[in-house]
Amino acid sequence: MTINNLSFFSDYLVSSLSLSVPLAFAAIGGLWSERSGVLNIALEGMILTGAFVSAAGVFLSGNVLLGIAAALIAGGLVGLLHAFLCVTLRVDQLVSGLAINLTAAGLTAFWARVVFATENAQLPGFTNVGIPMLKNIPLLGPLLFNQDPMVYFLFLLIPLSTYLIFHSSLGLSLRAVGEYPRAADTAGVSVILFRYASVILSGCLAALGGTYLTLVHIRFFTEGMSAGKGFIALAALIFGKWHPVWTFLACLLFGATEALQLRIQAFNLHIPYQLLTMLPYLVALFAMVGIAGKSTPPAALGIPYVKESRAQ
Amino acid sequence: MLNHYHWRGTLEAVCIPIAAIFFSLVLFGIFCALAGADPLGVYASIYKAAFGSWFSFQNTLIRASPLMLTSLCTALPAQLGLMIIGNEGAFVIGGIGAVAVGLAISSAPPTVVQLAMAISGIVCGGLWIGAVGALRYYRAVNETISSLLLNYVAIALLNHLVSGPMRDPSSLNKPSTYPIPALDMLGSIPGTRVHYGLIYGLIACAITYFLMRRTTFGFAARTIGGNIRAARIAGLPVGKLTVAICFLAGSCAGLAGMVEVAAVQGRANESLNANYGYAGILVAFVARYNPLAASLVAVLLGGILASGGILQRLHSLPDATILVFQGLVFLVVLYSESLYGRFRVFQDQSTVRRPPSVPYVPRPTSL
Repeated sequence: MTINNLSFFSDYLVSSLSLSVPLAFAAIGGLWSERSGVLNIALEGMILTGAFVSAAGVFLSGNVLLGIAAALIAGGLVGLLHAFLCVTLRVDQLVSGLAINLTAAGLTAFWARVVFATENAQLPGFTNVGIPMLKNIPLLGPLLFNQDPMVYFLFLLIPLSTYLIFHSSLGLSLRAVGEYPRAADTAGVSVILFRYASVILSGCLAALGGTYLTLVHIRFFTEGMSAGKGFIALAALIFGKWHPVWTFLACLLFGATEALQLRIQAFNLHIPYQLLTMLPYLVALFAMVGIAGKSTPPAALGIPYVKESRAQ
Repeated sequence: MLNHYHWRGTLEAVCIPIAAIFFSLVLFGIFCALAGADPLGVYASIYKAAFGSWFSFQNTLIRASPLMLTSLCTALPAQLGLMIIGNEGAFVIGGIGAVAVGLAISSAPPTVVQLAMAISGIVCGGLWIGAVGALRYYRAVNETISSLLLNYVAIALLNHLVSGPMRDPSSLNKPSTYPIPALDMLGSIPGTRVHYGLIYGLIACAITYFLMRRTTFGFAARTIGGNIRAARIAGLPVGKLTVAICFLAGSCAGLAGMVEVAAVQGRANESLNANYGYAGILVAFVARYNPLAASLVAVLLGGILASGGILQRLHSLPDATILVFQGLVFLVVLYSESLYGRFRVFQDQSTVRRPPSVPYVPRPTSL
């Protein structure tokens, strides 16, 4: 392998990872929510909200951290709304997600015209923070040790989520709420509290994914920029069997597909680029077809919990 | 037979959504006020643009006809307990299919061409969503996610076809297919500007209502939606029914795509992807998945869509305002779902609680 090939491959890996970061944040968010038994089709709307609010926040204040904080709060509020509709009002969780997606699309498009009406300036974003020495390792260095702070946070988030969900008493309660809420309730675990907390957390994480889109990828907000990423994240969640590590790997696969698609476009291989844009969606679809039946969702997923009812 | 229990229930099902729509109008007014527009002026403009005159009402009906058809794409699978949101994709694919056939046989008599375009739209859209149903039943693939992913595939396919293989070289700024000859376009209903698509929509809503409520086919479908295990034990062909209903659902959205190209656009290009699919989901939901109610809700929502341009011109609100309104309607109607059974006016003394429905479980894969 020549030096040139190596650097090409290294670039490809870096862009694969970068494209999978928004998916991974959203998918880990969805994982928390769905492990607690609340379907989260609203990820798409949460990503879009995070993307818009962070862009607007940075645009108006000029401070990246302030933008992220605003996005986290907005995402949390969207999560709160979803939790209120699904947990307290017990409406259909799928429909609630769709309603939130449509509302988020409308509101962000509306306010984008108002806020960004005058100028089309690029937003300040993140700069990469390299870890001395380690970042010079070929291949792995640029991939793992020369990234922006959000990627490092993601690297932290995955083992943390795995530990919390599968190896802590908190996670045991969370999974009990998602698998068999009656038993959890009997054992004194508050089903309502756990579901609210995890849906709000999922809103925050998905919004963080949206933040990554605006502050790192595009450096600006465009309408509908989430482009189905929330649903690809859900596909990754199913493909990853509701486990943080496998889910992250699924996101990497979808990110790598997207990166491949962009590479092929750049190389001008006479494959029409419009056809290539469907590749990430098709791969996500085929992943779900391939995993069929081997991936079991939490047993109480999508079923509202009613304290006094006798049925499940 | 209109007995005591039924009319109160029906009244509830009519009153709550209407009240919800009014409440969302109030919220929308507040939103407009926050955005610096005069809410009463906005209401007046919407009313004028949607229902104010015969001219504007015809505009509303033109917008309503694809909505009626796309709403069925969500409303029919909902009877099975499936949530399909691939309306936009089936709409686009139906439009492409119709244009392709229309251009291929443009030398045939206009009636034949129109018929062929309609059939092509129906078949293309039907296969698109039928595939989602088949994946759901045979491979346990989540139908909501797969149908949404297919929307993006359909749009990519549309962009590819209109800028490559099917492109009319004279369409420079906005790549499009060759136009359908004017002779082959769907005409207007005599005495109006409204095209025949409206008739298609009304007939489709009526037929699907009859099919779902008055035939054994519909009864079987609703049985599956009510309790899939019971349906399976009763020996109903769950797989065939799932695929058939999804095909039917997709074919309605495909027909909407055909109507849009053969009566309004005249060619396929990116304008085909104009949110009729997503608005159709809202129509189906507000109509509580009832095809007859969907035709009325489509007119209401069509009117509001038709007023988008006026809001932009007169009140300098961005055209995304209509999207905000759609979202508000969706959320408020969803909230109102939790109000059923809360008002004593609508309650009968002998109210029987319905058993909770069992979620749709695909065929066990171990078999």
